[in-house]
Amino acid sequence: MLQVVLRRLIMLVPVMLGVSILTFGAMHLIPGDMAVAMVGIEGAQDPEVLANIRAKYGLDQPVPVQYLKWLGAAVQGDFGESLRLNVPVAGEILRRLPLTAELALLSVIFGLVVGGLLGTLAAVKGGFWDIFVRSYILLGVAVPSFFLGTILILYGSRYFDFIPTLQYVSFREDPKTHMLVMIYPVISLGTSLAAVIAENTWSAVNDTMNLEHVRVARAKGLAERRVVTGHILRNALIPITTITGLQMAFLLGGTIIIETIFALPGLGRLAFSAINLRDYPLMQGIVLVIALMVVLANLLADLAYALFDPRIRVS
Amino acid sequence: MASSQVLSGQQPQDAQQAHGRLAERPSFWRRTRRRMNTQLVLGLGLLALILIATIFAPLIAQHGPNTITETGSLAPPQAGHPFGTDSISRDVFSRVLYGGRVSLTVAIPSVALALLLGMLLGVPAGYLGGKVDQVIMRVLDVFFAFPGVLLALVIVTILGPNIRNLILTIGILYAPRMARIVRAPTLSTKSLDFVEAARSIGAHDLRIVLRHVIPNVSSPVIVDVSLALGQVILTETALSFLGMGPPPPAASWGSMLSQSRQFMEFASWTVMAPGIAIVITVSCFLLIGHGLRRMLDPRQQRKV
Repeated sequence: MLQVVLRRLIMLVPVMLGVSILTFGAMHLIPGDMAVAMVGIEGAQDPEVLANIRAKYGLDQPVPVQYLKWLGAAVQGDFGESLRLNVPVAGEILRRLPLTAELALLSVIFGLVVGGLLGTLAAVKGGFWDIFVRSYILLGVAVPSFFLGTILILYGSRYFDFIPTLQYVSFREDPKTHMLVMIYPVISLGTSLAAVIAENTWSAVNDTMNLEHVRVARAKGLAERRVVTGHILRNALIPITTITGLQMAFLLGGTIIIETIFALPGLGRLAFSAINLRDYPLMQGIVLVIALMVVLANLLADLAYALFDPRIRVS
Repeated sequence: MASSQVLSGQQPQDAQQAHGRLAERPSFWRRTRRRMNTQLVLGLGLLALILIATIFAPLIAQHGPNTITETGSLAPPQAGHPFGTDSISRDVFSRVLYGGRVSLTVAIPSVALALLLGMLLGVPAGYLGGKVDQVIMRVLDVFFAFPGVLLALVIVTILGPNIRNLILTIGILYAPRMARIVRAPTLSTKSLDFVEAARSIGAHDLRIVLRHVIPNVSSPVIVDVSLALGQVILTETALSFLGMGPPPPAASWGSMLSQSRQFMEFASWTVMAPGIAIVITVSCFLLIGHGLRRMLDPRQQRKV
């Protein structure tokens, strides 16, 4: 098991190097002078301001040198200073990160519970559930999260007035209200994940249902409920874990939209405002951190996979 | 067997029988129709409707997408304005029709670009294997670490939001997954007997790829192209929703939705119309994708 973890950790290094190159390179797609882009048109009138910003961000050096310097600092947790907020990027990211992590985690739980339940029902019961789940799988993916969120705000505020919308309350201020505030964002973000999980649970359960060990379990007279939970779902969990890991990039991208709609002060909303304000150091920092989160989530999924599958655990 | 029949002089009768059997074989269209499934029929039907609505938008819509009508702002659905009017009294129905044009003019070229790039990366990776494969696939792994929407937002912001940059960005971002889709069947085709046979008679690699590998890759690709069209429309509308789509006054579904959200309490049609248009269009491409997958993969027909 330890070897599996170590091997996967070493494989992360080249991927993260590539991620950092792409993140750094994307910022240098800016047409024209980077320094002018950073200070804006008014600042660019003053050659002294330009020279200062060039020296401060090392823009007068060759690009590979700039990259290595940036990477060296980033590895030590220094992402430079935000252009517009005038605070260190790393501190601001750390301050906003927990809410986004909470939103993502709750959405994954929502996706696994709803998707797992629907997929299993469709495979085991069929009939009504077959049609219902088929429609859910289609619409869950086809309804954009920003539309679902908008509908929830529009009709939710009419019929469920105890759930506050558009005003964020932190967990520390009022835990109960905080959880209520998170309901709509989690549904908006988790619905498409649940659809993907339902689809995969359905086919995984179908594949497992007629395997020998399940037939043995039935033959020895185990209650159908125990057969499903103990023998079918346990096996189906392996592909479901992989799929959930692969959806993490999509899920974290979704937080940008959801946090913007629901006014949640998380990393996604910070990313959006950094992009809108052309705050390049902040953009770079956030993109790198989000990619790191995706890579780590995939690693976790792989490890969970190893945990569920004794064949991998042993070898 | 056949040669002995020829020798014993039974050939004419046999040929007649063979001809009879051929005549019994259902035509291509009948065979296709038999293999069609509900999903595919539904999806193709929707696609026909969407294409008619967007291509003939100027004939169907009574108002221009940017014409400020005299009906007044935020008027509810009524005769002449099936979906009401928006905050500056433009006809929502026309804007939804023209919005379809925006989404499709971004989605179709982006998917075509992604497919082209995906082929250029995936076919050599699968066909040549070894180091080439390793390098290409590791580089693509890097792309999978980024949320598509985030990277697209950053790049479109830096390059400037317009239709050309949207197509380029989305096309490049979808290329890695196309490459993966193309690579697997390339890998399994290259060791098949008929490819070996082609190679043994001295066919050039390029000829083998063009004549034998690519036709075999086409079924998974055609499924994924359809699914990708749906997802690209979701990405484009999300970018438009966040204000990084085609610049105003272009009627794009995402920007219509975001601009109308502040009025939705008393003019819900302004957000529902573009929202439902997105859902229908994306569903259409997903249905076609799922339907095609079932039609092309006999294993799937028995399942789910």
